[in-house]
Amino acid sequence: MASVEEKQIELDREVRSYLSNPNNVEAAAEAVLNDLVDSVVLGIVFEVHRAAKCGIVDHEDGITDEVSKFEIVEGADMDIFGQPLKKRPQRCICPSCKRSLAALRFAPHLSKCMGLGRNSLRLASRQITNSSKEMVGYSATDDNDSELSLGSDRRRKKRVSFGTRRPKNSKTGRNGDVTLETGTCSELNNSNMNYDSMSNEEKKNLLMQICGVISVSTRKLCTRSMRCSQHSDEQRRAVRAALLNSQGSDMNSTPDMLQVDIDSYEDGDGQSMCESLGQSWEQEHSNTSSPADSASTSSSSSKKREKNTKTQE
Amino acid sequence: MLYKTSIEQSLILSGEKDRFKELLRTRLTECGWRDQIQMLCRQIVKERGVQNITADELIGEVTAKGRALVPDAVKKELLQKIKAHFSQDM
Repeated sequence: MASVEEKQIELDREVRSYLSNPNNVEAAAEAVLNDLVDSVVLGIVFEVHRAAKCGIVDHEDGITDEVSKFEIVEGADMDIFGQPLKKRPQRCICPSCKRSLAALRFAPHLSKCMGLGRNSLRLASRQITNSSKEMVGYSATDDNDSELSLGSDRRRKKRVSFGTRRPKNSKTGRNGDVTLETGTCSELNNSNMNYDSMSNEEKKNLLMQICGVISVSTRKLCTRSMRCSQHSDEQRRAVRAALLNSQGSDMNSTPDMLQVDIDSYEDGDGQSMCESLGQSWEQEHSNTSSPADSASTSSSSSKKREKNTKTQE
Repeated sequence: MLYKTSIEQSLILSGEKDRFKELLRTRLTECGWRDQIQMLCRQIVKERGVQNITADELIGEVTAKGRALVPDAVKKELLQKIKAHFSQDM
């Protein structure tokens, strides 16, 4: 401790002797002041440097920017944010058909366009078929189509009529099989189907699947199932008998004969004709006809045809 | 300048240096010098980019300007007080 005090006293003495000169005092004061200023500057620099490195400066600047961004805008036809008063409804672009739609209409449109739900699916597939013709040949069709071996033109027609017929189908409220058959029905209608344009084998196949009775008014085939409620078993039997019989005997006269026969039958006096045409067939064919009868129909009709040819010979 | 460290030491020992420093800081804050230097620092940091600057570089640039920017009135007052201290003490 003594040495420290001694040093202090010595220091005081040195300073005093130095400061006895007024010039020295001036210079010393200047130096001290500069030192003080430097130390203050150092403090400020450290402060700012730290703030900059920590990102505080950015935050402060950011805040000032945002304040200027959210200033209230004064204008005749705009709100305080500077946006026009009438807001345009938001638009969405359908990923499927690339159309621009109002956002509110987007969900219903999408369900239609992408084909969600039963009805929408049909509409969507119809649109696709219409838009791209090359896809028609590969579009999925039912077995009847392939068996009838119709051209793609007719198939497309069927698709078009499909949509227009749809409400009727939904009204009947039956299962998917019905709509499939209705498709076949419209197809047959469109192509003006007649038995005369078919070969024997085609007729057989067709009659195994559908009712086949020719209606009076439209002169077209009934394409409903074997047990359709509009026509009786007797009518069906009569058609089959007439068809396969006439095929065996005379190919040329078939259409006229057939149509006359059916019309006359539907007018009321077909009972005798039915009996005369297919007695053996009737024996085999029980009164309670089931879907399984289609097989027996073909077999019986072929037998009957043989019989008919024999009789005519 | 041989005596500079000695004078400095004596000032520190007597506790006068802290008092002068405090006085200088308040004066400089009052006259807005502090804000000026702060703005200067920020400007330099912005120009160079936060990643490209060190504290030493900043000190080197700011110190000279800081000395020059000190108002004459403050400078005079401080010098007077320091001189008074020397003459009175010695």
